[in-house]
Amino acid sequence: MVFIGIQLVGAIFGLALLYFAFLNFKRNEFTAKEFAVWSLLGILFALLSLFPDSIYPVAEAINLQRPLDMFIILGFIFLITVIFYVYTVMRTTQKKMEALVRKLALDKRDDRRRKQ
Amino acid sequence: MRKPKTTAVIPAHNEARLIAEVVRLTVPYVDTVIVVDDGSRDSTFEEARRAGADVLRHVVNMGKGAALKTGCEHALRQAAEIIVFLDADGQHDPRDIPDFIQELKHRDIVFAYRRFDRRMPLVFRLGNQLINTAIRVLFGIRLRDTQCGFRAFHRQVYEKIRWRAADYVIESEIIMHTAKRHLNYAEIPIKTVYHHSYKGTTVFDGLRILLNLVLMKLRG
Repeated sequence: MVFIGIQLVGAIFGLALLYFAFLNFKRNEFTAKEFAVWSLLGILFALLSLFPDSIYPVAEAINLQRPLDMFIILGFIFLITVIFYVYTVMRTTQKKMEALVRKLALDKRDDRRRKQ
Repeated sequence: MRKPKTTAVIPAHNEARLIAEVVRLTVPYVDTVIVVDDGSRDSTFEEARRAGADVLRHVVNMGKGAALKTGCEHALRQAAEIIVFLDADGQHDPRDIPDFIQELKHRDIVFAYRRFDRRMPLVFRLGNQLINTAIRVLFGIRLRDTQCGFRAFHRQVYEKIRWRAADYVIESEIIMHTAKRHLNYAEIPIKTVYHHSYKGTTVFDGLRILLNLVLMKLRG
């Protein structure tokens, strides 16, 4: 079985994802569930890169000419979902941070006045 | 007729060099000066306090809009009846404050406009004109200097113009709310003070302001 360059790149990317997921899990940045999800994604990506024909049955079932098209579409869906999620979390965190910083500023000022 | 209690709110970030002078010049024209030290890494906080301001401090830099909101919340706690915004970099002359208060006798909110001359970099003049035009087209409100932060309003107006922006977009957002809520507004000319280094929004900030204007319009 001969693998072309891009397949190897994809496989390395998948394994790198697995590795970084493990690193973050070891550092307690990721929960076990998060580690499992990202690891599975990394492994799947590596396997699909090395054995792209394995998704032919699925591609045929949804009337796509080439498995690569399905790959790309699913990839975009995944990326957009992740970006949307991250954006939502970031906005919520930003609002909470602003409220907290304001509360700290006002409380500290009141404490200073009480001490005077 | 009793003079309304007037509070100046000055957001400041790394303005240790000028803040004391700005506070000292402002004090004669208002009842209270509130400085919001927005996560400065210099002695802005200490300088403002020494000059006689009531100083609040953000533990991290949050942006002009967030700092002004903190200042307003505190001003309202202190029973301010008129709130005046001015910048900490000395570009607004506090001697203009009485003109704002005079105009506020008949208005909900008063904006200011600078006279654009050759001392202001061309790119800023053009950027200002572009944003002014965008605001006129999108919100139907005609102002000569939409990005000037020197403005004043009555306390009851705050809830009507309360902004979401944490950064420079606040200037445009307040104008948008003024238009949406059909507030009675005016604009007055102010003296423009120039320093050697012009500090203000960049071209990228200008583009971001334009994008935000469109998004605000879409949000309705």
